[in-house]
Amino acid sequence: MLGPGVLAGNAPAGSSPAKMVLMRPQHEETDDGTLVRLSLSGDGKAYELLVRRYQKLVYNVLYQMVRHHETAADLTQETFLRAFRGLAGFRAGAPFKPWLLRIATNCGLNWIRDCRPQDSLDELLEEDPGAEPLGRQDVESEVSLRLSQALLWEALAQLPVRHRHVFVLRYQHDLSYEEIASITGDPETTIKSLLHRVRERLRLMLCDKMKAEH
Amino acid sequence: MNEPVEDTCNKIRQLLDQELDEGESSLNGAARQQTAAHLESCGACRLWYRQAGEVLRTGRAMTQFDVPEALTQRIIAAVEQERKERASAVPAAVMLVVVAGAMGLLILDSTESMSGLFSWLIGLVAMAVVKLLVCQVQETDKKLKQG
Repeated sequence: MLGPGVLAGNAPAGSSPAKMVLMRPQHEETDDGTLVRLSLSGDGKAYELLVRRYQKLVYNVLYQMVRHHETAADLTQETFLRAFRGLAGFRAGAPFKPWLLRIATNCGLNWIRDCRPQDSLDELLEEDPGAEPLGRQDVESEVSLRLSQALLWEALAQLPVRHRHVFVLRYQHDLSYEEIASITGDPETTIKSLLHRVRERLRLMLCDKMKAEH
Repeated sequence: MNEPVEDTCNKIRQLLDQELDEGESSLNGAARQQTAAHLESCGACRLWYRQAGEVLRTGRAMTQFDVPEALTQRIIAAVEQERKERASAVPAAVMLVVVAGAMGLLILDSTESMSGLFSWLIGLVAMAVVKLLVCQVQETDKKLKQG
């Protein structure tokens, strides 16, 4: 098992030079579709490259869902295993990234359902009724936000999983509405309006927090 | 007729929200002029715009954790294991099909032999019955002659 301390950092994923030397150079620039095809034909290095290309994204998305490093590591492994098993069913020409993130999302949600049965999944995924105490007066409050990352992380932790998930996909990982919609299985309009509510809610929560601190 | 101030602010904030989320190019020229003019005259919306922008800027700059090589190796090893199991599962499946086929043929053959045996048995039973009937007829004849 891997501890949280091992994972902190901000350098690009999969950048171990010793390992990359072993990779066949012609694979490094190869597009996802070709790597999937090569993996299906039994090329282990091709799938390894897909793992190295997307492991950081998958890990960070899962971490934001479960907020636990060891669990995120286990679920990352499960995601890539499930993806490997399902490669034959991957539609040729379809984008690989949203397909992989859909698997990761399902792994995360399954874990939440199985390991946190004390919480209702609907509650975790959707609204938590006690979390909207902020009134209109706060919107206009003279709080100038100078946000630290820690503060935003804390606020995100208070959001339902689904809200946090779409926020992270959109802003931390810069995914398009189309990609997010294909990951969550919701229409783009739903994602747009959900993100609008999440942004506003975060702003209100953070204003409230800042006001309380001053 | 002038719109209530709050409605105007809400409409402008929707445009500003779209601009913050999708970039300046998502608004047309008229919308950009409208929002700029409104921001100059409305302190509340200026503040809102700064706060909303700060949330998104911080969100976009959120730290991402690196994945240690140990985890990468663990994933690759698990995938390799899966590949090997799958590879060994193919000959096993072929073997299973061959064995099942052979068993099927054997059973089919046995069935044929059984039905052959059964036919012989029926023949033997039929012969025994005929023999029994003949014996009974002979005995009846003998009794009639004695009587």
